[in-house]
Amino acid sequence: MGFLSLFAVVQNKEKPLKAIAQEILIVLSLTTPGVDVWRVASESEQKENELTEQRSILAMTKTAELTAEAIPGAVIQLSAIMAARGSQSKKATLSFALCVFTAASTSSTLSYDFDTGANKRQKQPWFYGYVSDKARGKLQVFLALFFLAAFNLTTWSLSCVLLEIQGGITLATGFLLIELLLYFLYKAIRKDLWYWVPLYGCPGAFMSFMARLMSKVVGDWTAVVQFRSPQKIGGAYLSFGLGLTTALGLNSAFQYEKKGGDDSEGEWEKSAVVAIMARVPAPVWSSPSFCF
Amino acid sequence: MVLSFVLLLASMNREYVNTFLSTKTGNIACQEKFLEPLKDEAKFSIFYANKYKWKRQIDEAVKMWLNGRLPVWLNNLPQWFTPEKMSRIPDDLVEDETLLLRIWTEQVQRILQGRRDSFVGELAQSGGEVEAKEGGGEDGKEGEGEQ
Repeated sequence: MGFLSLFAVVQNKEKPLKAIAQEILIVLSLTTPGVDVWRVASESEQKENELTEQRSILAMTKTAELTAEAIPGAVIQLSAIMAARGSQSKKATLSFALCVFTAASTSSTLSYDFDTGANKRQKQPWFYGYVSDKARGKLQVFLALFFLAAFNLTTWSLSCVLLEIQGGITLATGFLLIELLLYFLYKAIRKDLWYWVPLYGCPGAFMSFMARLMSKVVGDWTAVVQFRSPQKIGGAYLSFGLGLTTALGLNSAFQYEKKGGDDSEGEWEKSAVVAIMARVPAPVWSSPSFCF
Repeated sequence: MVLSFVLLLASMNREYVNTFLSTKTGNIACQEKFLEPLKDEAKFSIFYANKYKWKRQIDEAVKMWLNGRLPVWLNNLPQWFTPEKMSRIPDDLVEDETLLLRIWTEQVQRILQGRRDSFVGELAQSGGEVEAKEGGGEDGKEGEGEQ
């Protein structure tokens, strides 16, 4: 809700206080997703004193939902299931599955809607249009997006929970932080830290940081392929991340199987370091030229 | 997961596979969009992007294009050149002060016109409702006759 209120203020910062208060009230009344969808569906044009178009605001709302609700929710639930060591109820498993499928649905709908929007295809034909125009092709792509998101979220959650079980919360948090740091380093090297939204000064820097952080987390954890856009994560980096997620998941599972919960030799720290080191080449191979 | 990704690549339109391997940065994408031989409306989207993404590299090109096209837009007032679009033009890029003044005037005039139109529309609507109430059932018959 904090993220959404922030978006509401930033989007309407040039409007009178009453309008900003109205937008915050929409957030507090928990109707933001519905209102955003209605605004996009009714094709309401971007107004003079609004920062960006409604579709982008809808994407930000969904990204905030995934970052602040779905992803932590999945990790917490899986952590509880793993801690129960087989004695968990079926309801807990079902709840985790529903959480993953809901997140996957949000992720796949986000990517699918952006690509099939006529306006987007007309304005950026080089980027939008990967979804086939035939009904069968559409279904195939949607299902692929859905399962990609579901498996990605499960793999990341499982990897983090296994890291936490074996190496403690410090190792799991450290791994995630270093991973994010590498991403910001990559963006800094390529001089691409600023987000595309025309917001400057401290608010702009904060907005860019939040947008970069959230798109990275959501792109990695729920495979939102819309974020392959150069303005977000970038195609190569996103695909590379998807490959590494698979490797990370397999590595975590094998290590857990091998050690059977015993960490006497510190193998887990080693495996986490290997997983982090694997991310290091990303900025290098994704950047054939640093200048532009 | 790998299977899903392979299925995605296999079922999508082939020409977009390269977007999954692209190393393009946001800055380059933004500048390329402007430098491509596109219509004015498409090029104008540069003013919707953060200026740090293009100003250092293509500032002069944008300035030349804007100052060349601005008189044409202000004279012809194409449909896409709305007050909202006018408000996006950075003042520092417009070299001719009279053009800048025209943008502001045009913006104000069109906003006022819009408000006037919506006010007249509301008046006409409320007038129609009052007539409908006063006319009662007879209005319905008249309406049918007119059709």
